[in-house]
Amino acid sequence: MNVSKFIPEYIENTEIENLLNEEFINQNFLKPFDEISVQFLSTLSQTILKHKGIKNYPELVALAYWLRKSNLLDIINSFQKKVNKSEIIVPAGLAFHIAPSNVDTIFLYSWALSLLAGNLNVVRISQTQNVQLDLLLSLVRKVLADKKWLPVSKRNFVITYPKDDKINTFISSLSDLRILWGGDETVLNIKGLLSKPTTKDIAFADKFSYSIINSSIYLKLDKQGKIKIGRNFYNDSYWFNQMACSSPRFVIFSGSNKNCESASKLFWSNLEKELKRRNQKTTIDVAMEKLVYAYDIISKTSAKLILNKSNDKPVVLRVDKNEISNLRESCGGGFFLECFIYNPDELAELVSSKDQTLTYYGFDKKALKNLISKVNGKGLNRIVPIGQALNFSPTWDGYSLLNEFTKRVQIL
Amino acid sequence: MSTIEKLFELPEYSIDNSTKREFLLEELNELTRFHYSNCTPYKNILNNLKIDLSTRINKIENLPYLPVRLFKTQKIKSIPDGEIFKTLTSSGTTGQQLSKIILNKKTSMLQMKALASIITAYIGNQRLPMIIIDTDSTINNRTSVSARGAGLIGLSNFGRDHLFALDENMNLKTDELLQYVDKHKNENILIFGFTFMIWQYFYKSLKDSNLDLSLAVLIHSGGWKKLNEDFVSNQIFKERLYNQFKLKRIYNFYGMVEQVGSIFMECEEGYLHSPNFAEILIRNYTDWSVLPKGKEGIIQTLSVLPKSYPGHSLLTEDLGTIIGIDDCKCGRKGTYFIVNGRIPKAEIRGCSDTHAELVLNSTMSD
Repeated sequence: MNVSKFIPEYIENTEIENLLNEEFINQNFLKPFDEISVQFLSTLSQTILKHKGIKNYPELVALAYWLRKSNLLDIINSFQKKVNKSEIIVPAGLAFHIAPSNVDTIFLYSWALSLLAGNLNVVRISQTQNVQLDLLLSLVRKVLADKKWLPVSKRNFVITYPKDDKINTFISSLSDLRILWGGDETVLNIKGLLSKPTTKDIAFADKFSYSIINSSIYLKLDKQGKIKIGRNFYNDSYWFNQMACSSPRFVIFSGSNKNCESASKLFWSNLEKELKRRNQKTTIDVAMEKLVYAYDIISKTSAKLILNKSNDKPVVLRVDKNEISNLRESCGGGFFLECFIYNPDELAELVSSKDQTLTYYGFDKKALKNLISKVNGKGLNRIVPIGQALNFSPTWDGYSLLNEFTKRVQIL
Repeated sequence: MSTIEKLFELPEYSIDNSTKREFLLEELNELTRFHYSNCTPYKNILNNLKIDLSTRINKIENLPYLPVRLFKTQKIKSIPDGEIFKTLTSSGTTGQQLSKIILNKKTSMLQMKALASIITAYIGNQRLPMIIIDTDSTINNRTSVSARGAGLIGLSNFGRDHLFALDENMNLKTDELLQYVDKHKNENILIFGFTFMIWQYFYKSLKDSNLDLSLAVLIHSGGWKKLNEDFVSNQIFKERLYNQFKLKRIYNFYGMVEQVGSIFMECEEGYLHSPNFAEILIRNYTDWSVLPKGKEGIIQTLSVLPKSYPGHSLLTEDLGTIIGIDDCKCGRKGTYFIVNGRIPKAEIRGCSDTHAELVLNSTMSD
């Protein structure tokens, strides 16, 4: 059963049984939040930020910011505050991560948290090659080449192999924790494989995200304010080509019909301006995907095409709020549905179980808490301002990840 | 005489482009209105695009089109269920959605008539002894027909004494084939098959034989994706088959299950020609505007044949370039063009796609 290893060093075709040998499995765990784990991740952060041309990869810049020592310490402190005095935090054990194929870099966030927790980590990355991922892996290797990180490098492997349930089962049989990114099908497949009786699965399956805008408050924004919302929304939706779980796929305008109409017009034209400013060009495949999806939707709903003159612009379809629940499919690349509601509470009826992130503008926390208590668990687990859709947080998909990645020993 | 009858009445590849476009425009306007009135999804789309049908659309460039993939996501037809004569499906592999094309008797008949008009313009009116590089099981079910089957059934009408040259396991029945060629040794033989299958199961299996096919005509279709991956271009394909079998007359054609009968045959100059009742346009992907000759873009195919489904104007997922109109050295009129392959597959990105890469790697072109 051959795999290729990317981290700590690149080795093509090596036996998984040799890689995950007794020595690997039986080694001591690092202490949760060990100094060396924090140092390693913050060194990685600096290495990424110092890399020439890193500005071309905003996702990696965001990752590097997240890995800053101060941010890591904040995460650790706020976690430790919630630990009872009678409890000691210990690692969960061996964590097997299945990374998503093309939200290139997201696996590093959950890996970093698991590493901080002190776990042994085996990360399976996808077979698809791409520039960001290659760059990220080479930077991790560069850092780990320094012998002083040996305690980290001998406990953390990043590997790849073609879809192979024998290898998946082999690793599962050693794992205390499986962190599964992927579509429903992938997650169900891995869950169906034998593991230890005590193995815990943390699954991030198919998810859907959208935005809500308070039309009257948006309309009161000055020109600069609207431009800023456009920029933030661009970052949320166009990084990862609108295909991350938390990328907004549709926008709900809340308020009187007249206000929604005006807000919609200004909102999309500001997004267009941002696309123009960034000279964002659509590729031929994405243009075709968007055409097919748009025609498919307008052929079977009352949806109205709002913008489509140039394919470099976003495709926006206005649909009735009653139809939006059935339109959770998307092609990405700047393809949006919008609908109008009068009262934000109406949103509660539109939420379904696959919904993850709601990005918002123009609502106070009280209104949002109200809304979420109305939804009451039907869906949605992240409510963040527009511009923060992709910001990874240690609370993700309803899990407090450091809780999930560690165990507690009670001492009475 | 109706417009469509005129298009069939005139000799194939003989109509000046301006006259042809007038004929097509009239017929396609009528089809657009017919499908609008009889197909709800089509009507919704046209309403949404604010296409005004109260006046005649004045240029074929202004006719609405459907992306061809819509036939994979939905069953789209303009006839009542009772009128369904046949359903064609594309021959995709596992994991791909299949096109479903609903035909009534009239459309099916027009398709046969169109195909006859094109093929006989190339091989004459006589039925030729015919070798089919496929297995006979491909055409066993006649009510639900795959694209491959539809092609075989359509073309087999131009031959007689048919030999299916492959067995169930895609092995060449070499002995039977050699006997067959010997039996018809002084005759023109028609050979038909799918490009990839001819290369893989016919040419490669007979590399060591001294089979002489200098009197044969080979007609083939089905896409170049797999062959191009092995660096086999149309040029190389023709050269190798000539060197091996002295096979001179080799014609590729471009066609799709969504517009059966409306095929674009390759000429001796290596260009694909639009027949009397069909036309192509090339569109720019940045704003879907029509591109002039010489510029590569997405191929739109127009055909007057589809009466039972709104497939008379389709935006394909193929790239092509128009070389010229009416002035090909081969002497045939019509728009002539080349196909430059498929639009590259959308890059799959997203948290949800650890699986998709594997499916994508295993797909084959139709």
